[in-house]
Amino acid sequence: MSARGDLLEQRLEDSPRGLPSRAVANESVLGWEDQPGSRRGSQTVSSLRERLIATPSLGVHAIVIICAVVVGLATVPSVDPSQLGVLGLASVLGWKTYAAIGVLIVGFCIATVSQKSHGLLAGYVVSITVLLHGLAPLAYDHLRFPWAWKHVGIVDFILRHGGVDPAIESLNAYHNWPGFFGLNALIAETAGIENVLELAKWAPLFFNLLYLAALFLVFRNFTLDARVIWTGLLVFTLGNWVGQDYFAPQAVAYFFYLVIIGVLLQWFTADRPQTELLQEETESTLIAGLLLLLIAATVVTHQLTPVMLLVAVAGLAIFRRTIVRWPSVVTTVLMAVWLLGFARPFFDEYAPKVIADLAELGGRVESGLVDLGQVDTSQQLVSLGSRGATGLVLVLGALGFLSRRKMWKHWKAAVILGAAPLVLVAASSYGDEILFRAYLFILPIAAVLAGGIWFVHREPEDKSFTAVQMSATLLVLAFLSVVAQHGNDIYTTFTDDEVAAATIMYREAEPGSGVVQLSTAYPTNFLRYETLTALSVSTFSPAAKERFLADPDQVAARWLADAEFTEGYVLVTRSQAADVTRRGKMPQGSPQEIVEDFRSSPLFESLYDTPDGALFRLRGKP
Amino acid sequence: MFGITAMVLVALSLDFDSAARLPIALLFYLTCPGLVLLDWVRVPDAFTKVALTVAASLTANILTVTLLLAAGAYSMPTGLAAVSAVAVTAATVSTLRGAKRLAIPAPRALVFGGSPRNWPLVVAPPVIPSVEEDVPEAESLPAVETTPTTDPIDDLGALVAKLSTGAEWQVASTDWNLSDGTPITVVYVIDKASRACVSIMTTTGPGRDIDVWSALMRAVPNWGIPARLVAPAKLISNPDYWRDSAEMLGFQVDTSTPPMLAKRFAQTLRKLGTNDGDPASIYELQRQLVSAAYFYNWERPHSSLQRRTPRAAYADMHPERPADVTVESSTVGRGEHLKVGLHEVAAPDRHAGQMITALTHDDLMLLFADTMPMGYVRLTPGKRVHRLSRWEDAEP
Repeated sequence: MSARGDLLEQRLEDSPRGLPSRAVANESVLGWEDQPGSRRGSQTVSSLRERLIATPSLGVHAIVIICAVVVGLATVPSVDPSQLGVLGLASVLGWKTYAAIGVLIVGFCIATVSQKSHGLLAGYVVSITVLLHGLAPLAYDHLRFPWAWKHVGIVDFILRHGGVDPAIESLNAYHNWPGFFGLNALIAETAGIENVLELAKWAPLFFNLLYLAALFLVFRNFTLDARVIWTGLLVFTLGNWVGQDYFAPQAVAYFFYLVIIGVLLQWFTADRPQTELLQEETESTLIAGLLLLLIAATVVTHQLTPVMLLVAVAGLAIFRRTIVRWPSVVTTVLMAVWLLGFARPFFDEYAPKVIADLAELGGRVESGLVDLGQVDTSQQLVSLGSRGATGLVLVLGALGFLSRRKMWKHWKAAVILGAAPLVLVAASSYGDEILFRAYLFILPIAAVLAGGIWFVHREPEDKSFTAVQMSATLLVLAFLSVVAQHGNDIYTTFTDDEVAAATIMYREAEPGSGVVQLSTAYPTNFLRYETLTALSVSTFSPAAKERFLADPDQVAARWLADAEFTEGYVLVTRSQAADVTRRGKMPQGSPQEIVEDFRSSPLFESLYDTPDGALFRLRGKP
Repeated sequence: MFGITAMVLVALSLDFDSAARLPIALLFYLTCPGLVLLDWVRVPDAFTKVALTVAASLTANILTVTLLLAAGAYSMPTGLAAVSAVAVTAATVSTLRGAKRLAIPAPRALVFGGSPRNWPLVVAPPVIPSVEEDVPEAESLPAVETTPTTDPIDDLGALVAKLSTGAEWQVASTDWNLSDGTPITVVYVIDKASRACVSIMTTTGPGRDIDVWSALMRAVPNWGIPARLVAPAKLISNPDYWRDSAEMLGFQVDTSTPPMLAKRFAQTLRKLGTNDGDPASIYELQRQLVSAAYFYNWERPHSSLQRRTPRAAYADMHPERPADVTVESSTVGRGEHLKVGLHEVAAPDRHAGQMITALTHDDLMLLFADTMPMGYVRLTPGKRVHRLSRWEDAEP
């Protein structure tokens, strides 16, 4: 052994406490000074990471998050939808709730500019998501959005019939893409619950949290800068006002879409060598298998998302952003198999319409926007709020793109994914929803680009100014988002009486009954939905509408007297009234006059009569 | 996953309050069978784990239910049986095939965290270093030269003597930006006497103790161990964390002297490393840096070295190659074995998430958790799983 080895051995033997501690015994040899009380050896190992990462202000941030979330959640009022103001829920939220959201956003900006840890930034973004998307389930007793109630109705159908009916006339799309509903029916039966209303109430929060997880995978492939990633995630959360995240197949299909894009960019990107991506055969097989199953699940869950997926994966393959091309082929084949197989009844019915719509692109796009001249002031404000939120996100995204001169090479995939949804507009048989859905698919890309505006350089020149800029922008976006998300709550949320009136109707109606309603804005089709045929006055021709408004009970009785109906019902609710008057479909005050007319009509008997919901049944039907 | 599946089946067989059954059902349908995926796929972060687990579970369960609905065979018992069968099959196959969560970390790390944060490179003669590390075929365990079991402290002393160079190395870092603006820190180590760049690596964090440690350890197999490591205080925030490891490997850490030579090297690196333009990805940056360092060490004559290259000068000063050692870095999760090459080491849970560095020479493996000594392992031929021994328990 060399002299040096001997020396080391000697040092070790001289020490009574083992190597790590004993090694310091001979201070003179290596110049270390033993510091009394200093922690050494393996005991200090576990604290090393914390001490390296932690900063004094981390605790302050944690306290801010906890306090804001507690205050924010505790101060969300229990709201009676009939008392909502001009801007819906945004009008009745207390200042403490707004303050909590504001404090979290400002705290996030400070933490981001200060380059705090992932955990802290995640804490902020998750907290803001919980507050924003948890507002509705906390404030309202019942499920929001009439269109979410009908999805509960499909689950109810499966629970009662033990299957679906692809050839059914009403809501047939859901029967042709039944995966989401089938799984929820199974969950309901496994859990021993009657329906999935309570589950559905929390769906927006659940899905938005899932989107964050999936988008993290997507965003980390565009940039490694945590500041950009987390700011992008926050912009996504704030900008996701379009209400496509409720209890619906498209919500889960959108999650699948994001995961598929994330998997492609993480494991099949052309930006990094294959040797770095998947090193083990099993891993490679599993990831490819997962991708295949995700595509299959998307295809059988929702009719429109696979189209969007196809455009996106084909774009990535064509522009050589991914090293695999089979996902676009597989998506096409699976879509064709599903459409021509299980969903054939739907395909036969709607294919001509879709083709016709493709030829009328311009007109359909126009019809997707609310005509502000036709709606009342409050609806104008809400529409301006939603357009403002959309515009702000898109402008921020564009600025983010422009702020990085050299990013094209690295962000090509993002640009492709951002442009792909424009193709979706062509599939305009979805009517008014199409622009919302296109925006939903553009949103992640716009969000991550927007997140980069403030972090073009490693260190912002003026951190305080950057934090102020960020805070101001995100606070404005948050407010617009609350207005856009909840401004229409007056006709998308329901009181106990409305739910009770609808429940009585769906429970008591004989199969084959008809129901006259002002609009579909009420708890609709959630129970035995196939037993009723709805006649929505607001969708009728102006002439038919005029006739109805002139003499409601007589006209309704005539409609319901049709031999096709076994029984006839009339349902008028507060939400229907708000819907038709706010959106300019009927004159102000007309719903109340209609209800009065039915109350005094000898042709109808009253089954349920409250200020928020009135249910009448046509007399004289066998 | 067996547990969750069993829980759901038991919950169904018992007649109790539905409020408790709902969370169990949700847990089941949202995590099974997706959890199995995590045993096989290297997932870069916790968020992705959540996304993939839920996505895989929803996918499998939706497809199963859809098939039943399409076949007209749906009912609660058949649906649950089919979904449970998929989950149990996946778990069984995974168990039988001996799935171990892969210890190899995902290569793309993020700023401010993630594990690991860095992507070490080796600037190692005699071949052009590569960022891709070959994974050896797992056909058989490597033959380990057996020597009569001796005191590990003796062996450590001998190893340190063989690796010692008596040289002064300097560490410094420089900031770099990818073309999309992503900030990257480049940490490098320079041998003062020969001017050789003995190690260079990139990190997406600001550059900390652990990055310096990683760079240093990567240099050991080819360049040995210095007698003195001069580093700026911003990189080695607390030399106390280095005390035991430095003592053990026989070098000093000096944060009081500015590493002037290494700082100047940043300009050279910038000049040599940006010939190809701004890198679009961290991979490109690494490739550029490795090329630059290789050119600098092996091809570029240095005026202060009498027109010799740094590597030639280093070879003149240290004609003997250092002892044959291998260095590997990895992380380990709770309850998992640390994988070092084809060997596995049962590591205490308190080291979960830390960067573990293994320095192996003959049958002695030294293990470090972050920058601290963790213990040692005596490798036994034919044995895959080894026990970690503490230095405190080493018999003299």
